[in-house]
Formats: sequence, C-alpha cells, structure tokens
Amino acid sequence: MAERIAITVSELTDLSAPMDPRFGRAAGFLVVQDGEVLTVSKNSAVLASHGAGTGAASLMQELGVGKVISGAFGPKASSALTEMGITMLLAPAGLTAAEALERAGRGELQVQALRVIR
Amino acid sequence: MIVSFASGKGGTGKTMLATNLAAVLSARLTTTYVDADVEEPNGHLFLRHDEARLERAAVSLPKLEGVCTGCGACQKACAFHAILALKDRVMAFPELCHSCGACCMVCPEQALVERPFEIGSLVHARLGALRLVSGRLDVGQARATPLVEAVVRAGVRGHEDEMILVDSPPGTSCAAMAAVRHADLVVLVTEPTPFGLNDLRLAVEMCRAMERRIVAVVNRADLGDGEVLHYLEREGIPMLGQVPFERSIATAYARGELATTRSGALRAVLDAILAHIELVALDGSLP
Repeated sequence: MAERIAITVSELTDLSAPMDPRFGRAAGFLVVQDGEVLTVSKNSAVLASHGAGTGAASLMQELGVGKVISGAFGPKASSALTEMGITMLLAPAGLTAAEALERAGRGELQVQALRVIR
Repeated sequence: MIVSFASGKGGTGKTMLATNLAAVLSARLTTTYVDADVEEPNGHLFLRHDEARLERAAVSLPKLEGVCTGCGACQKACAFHAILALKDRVMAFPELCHSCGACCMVCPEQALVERPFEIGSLVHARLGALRLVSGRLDVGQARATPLVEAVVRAGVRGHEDEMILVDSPPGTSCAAMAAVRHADLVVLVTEPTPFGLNDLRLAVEMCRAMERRIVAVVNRADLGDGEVLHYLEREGIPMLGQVPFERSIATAYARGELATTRSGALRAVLDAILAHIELVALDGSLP
C-alpha cells in the first residue's frame, strides 16, 4: 500500500487549495494516497493558545501519514514528528496542494531534519 | 490584608510605590513585601537585606517509569497537547505542561508518574520589621505562573492577619492574574500616556473579571495628556494620587534608595494609599 502524505492547506477543499505555509496553525490537512484525496481534516489545534504544533503532530499520527508537506514546522512540531518517524517536507509558499505534491513526487522538496544545536 | 500593585504596562512604577509603601507601612504594622515579579524581581535592590534563606520551588511533571503500551490515554487526557504517545513510550513537552497530573492519573499501566522539577527559588529575608519574600524564576524556565502562586502563598500563609504587599508582574497574563487573585485591594499604577491608558484598560478588565477591588495611582503625572484621568473618572475608579515626574524620585530610584523622605509629593500619595487601606480594612463594602 502506498504511503499516505499530508499537505497543510488554508482551505478545506481539494488539491486545488493553496498550501498553508505553516504546519501547527494550518487551517487543515489533505491526506493523499496514490494521488487520491483520502481525507480533508480540519486542524482543531489552530486556535489553541499553546500546543498547536504538538496537537497537529498527534493528528498526523492518528491519520497514519508517513510524510507531511508544509511551508514551515515549529520546534515542538519538528521534534514530535521526528520522534513519530514522520518525514517533514518543506515547500515554498504560494503553491497549491497539487503543485506541492507534484514537486514532492519529483523529489524536489527539501527534507526538514531536526537540527541538534547542542 | 493583601494589597497587590499591578499594571498592564511595564515600567509604570509598581516596584517604586510598593517598596516605598512597604518601608512606611512596616514602621506601623507587621508587614510583608512579596516580590511576585519572578521573571525580573528587583524589589531587593531597594529593600536591601543581608542574610536570606533560599527555598527551591518545583512543579510536577510526568515521567515514564514503567512499561508503556502506547495506548494513548495520556495524550487524550491532556488539554494542552503537552504529552504525545508514541508506540512504546511518551514524549512530554515540559514547557506546555500545566502540572495537572491527568496523564498520570489515567495511565492504565501506572507507568507514568509525577516527579518534581525545579523551576526557581523562594527567597525569605528580613529588613528590620519588614518581612520579605521573593520569587526568582530559573533562567531558561518558561512558566512563571506556578512560581508566582508559590511566592504569594509563602508570603500569606501564617500571616493572614497582617499586611501583605504584592509587587506583581506587569501585563494581564496568567502570571499577573496569579499575583492579584487573592488581593483585597489592587493598586493599579499607570502613567498618563496613550500606552499607559491602553494597558490600564486591560488591567482594569482583568481585575473586574476577577472581581477585585481596584484603585489607581498615576505616576509621572505631569507628562502626557489627561485621558487617563478622564477614563478613571468615567469608570468610577478611585484615583488615590498623582506622583510627579520629579528628579528627586528618579535619582533615589537610580541609586537603589527609597524616596519616601525625598519627595513630599510621593509621601502624600503613599499616605493616601495608607488611608484607603485603612478604609478597606474598616469597611469591606467600600467601592
């Protein structure tokens, strides 16, 4: 079975939605498998005063995704996703979800590695 | 009686008023000065004491000490997304944790247990008749609120019938709320500028939401405009006095000295606060 990929989106529609440039405070997530949208999931953590990143990360785990595409991942989300074994892919802002997915398919997106600074 | 000095805006004169009032008040009544501005405590620069007793303060954090089955009960129980369940272990985020203990309570394996985690110190000291209790958050710690709660508790416990002056952190965050939560009277210190007014409004709303009795003191009163005074009048908040922008006060403050004997104007404002404290003590129904 092909891997599930989540993309942060600022509109809860389909692959034509703009990619949301932020992970923890994204409006929602599209979960894609074999090019088909499996789920459109609202991000319930978006308005949390704290813990949006860890909340969104736990949602990724529930949705069973192996990769997430977004514009930026915060420090807590990064460490949570790393621990969960979920790969973070960085896409430039201004793309649609479909465009971001295509670039990921061509291996053009940078993988966000957890930077250990000390 | 607990009197908290608070302000929305920082640098309005909470510490200047609270330390000077503490010095004047302790000559008459048994008084405690509590420095609850634990992120940048500075009351000790003006109320200079020699010996101090240090007590470490800790919050409890979840620690995995047994076998985790990855059931996720802890993650579901946490309202702050502070703990994530992985396959065979958990990942805790201390900076998000509110130490409620729910995760440990629901762990079916009893593998998660609460363990103390030090966040700062409580400093107990004396200066003549004045008792001093201050909180110092450790460098790098993000959560001040539990330490503010602890320092207020340490100041009040066993001294309920005495005068307790609480120097609060600025703003209207949880830490500021913890410093005024138990106050019988909140003295809001402000300055007559648009910034002062904006942040005063926020502080008034915070105190009203907590049903605290409030009065105001205007510091650096000869700067800015008259909007703060209009606002206080409109809202029916007693204005106990105006401290002028006076060189003698600034000089004393910059040297780490008290200004009670240097400025007649400051002394008059302190006397007005003392008179109001007496009124509140006599009649619990005052506005």
